[in-house]
Amino acid sequence: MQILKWTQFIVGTGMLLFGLLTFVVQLLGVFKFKYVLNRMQAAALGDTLGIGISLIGLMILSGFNFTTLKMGLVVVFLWCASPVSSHLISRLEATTNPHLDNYCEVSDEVKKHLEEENNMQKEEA
Amino acid sequence: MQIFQYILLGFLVVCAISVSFSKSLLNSILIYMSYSLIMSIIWILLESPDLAITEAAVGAGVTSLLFFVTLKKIHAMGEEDKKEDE
Amino acid sequence: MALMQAHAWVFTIALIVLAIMAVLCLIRAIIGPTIADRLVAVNMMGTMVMVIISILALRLNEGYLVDICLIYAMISFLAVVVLTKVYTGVYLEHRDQGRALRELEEKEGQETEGEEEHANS
Repeated sequence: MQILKWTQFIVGTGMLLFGLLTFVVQLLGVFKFKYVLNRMQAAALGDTLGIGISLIGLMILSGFNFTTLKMGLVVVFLWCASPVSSHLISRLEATTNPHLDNYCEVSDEVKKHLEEENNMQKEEA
Repeated sequence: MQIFQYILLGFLVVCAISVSFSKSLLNSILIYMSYSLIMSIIWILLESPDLAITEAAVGAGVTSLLFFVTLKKIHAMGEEDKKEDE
Repeated sequence: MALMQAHAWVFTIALIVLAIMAVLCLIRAIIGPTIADRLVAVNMMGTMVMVIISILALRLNEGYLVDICLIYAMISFLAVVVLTKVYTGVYLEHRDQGRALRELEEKEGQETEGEEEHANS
């Protein structure tokens, strides 16, 4: 019986530490990248993988009870919600940044739209 | 456990100072949201989960969203970027 | 008994590491130039707080703490949705306002030139 407890403990902490490692990698990525769209790609890593693995590790650690079910619900909700929020943030960046083309290559009609916007702004300035 | 609490309290102090020093209002609202985020953890550490739930639901949720809506109403959001550009 | 100490020990280390990372997230939120950076940082901090709360739920072995985790999952998602909607709205409004203003000036410009032509013709 004791061995079962110890294996549960080791597997759970292993996954938890792996989740922490993903958070460290996410933080490094966010600090290293200069432009927000690359930075967001690193941040989304932690939102899905990091929290998934660490919460599954915690579920293993807590065994079969009601808390595990709630943690499972949190993981399922986050796996659905965080890609949507990342998409929304990148759309926010795309609409509000007039100089988008010198950060990432952009399809031609968007480029035309951006140029027209830029010379509009130059007139204004 | 003690060190964890010290780190969180240090976090709160940094949050509070940076809210007052941030130029744009939008930035201070976001930092206010992270302040109430950490405040609810401290409520948990002080063994009062009901306060933590209310702090989480009210602090990060309702108050910040009301701030955003008021900012939009008084058109204060766009002005800072213009002032910063000039 | 050693198992309980091991549990407590692992949880404390994980909590400390996560707290330090949350502080770094806050610094990223303060530095971040554009609004999208700040949103990403606050979103990241939300997920870290969620893991902290679930670890605390196991550490103090109280099950109902995980509800706060659920609340945070929804709130950080809601905040991102509302902020993007509000900010894009404000940005587009200002840009269109600027364009409408310039069109008005151009119209006045043409009218005044029109009158001068009448005056001097």
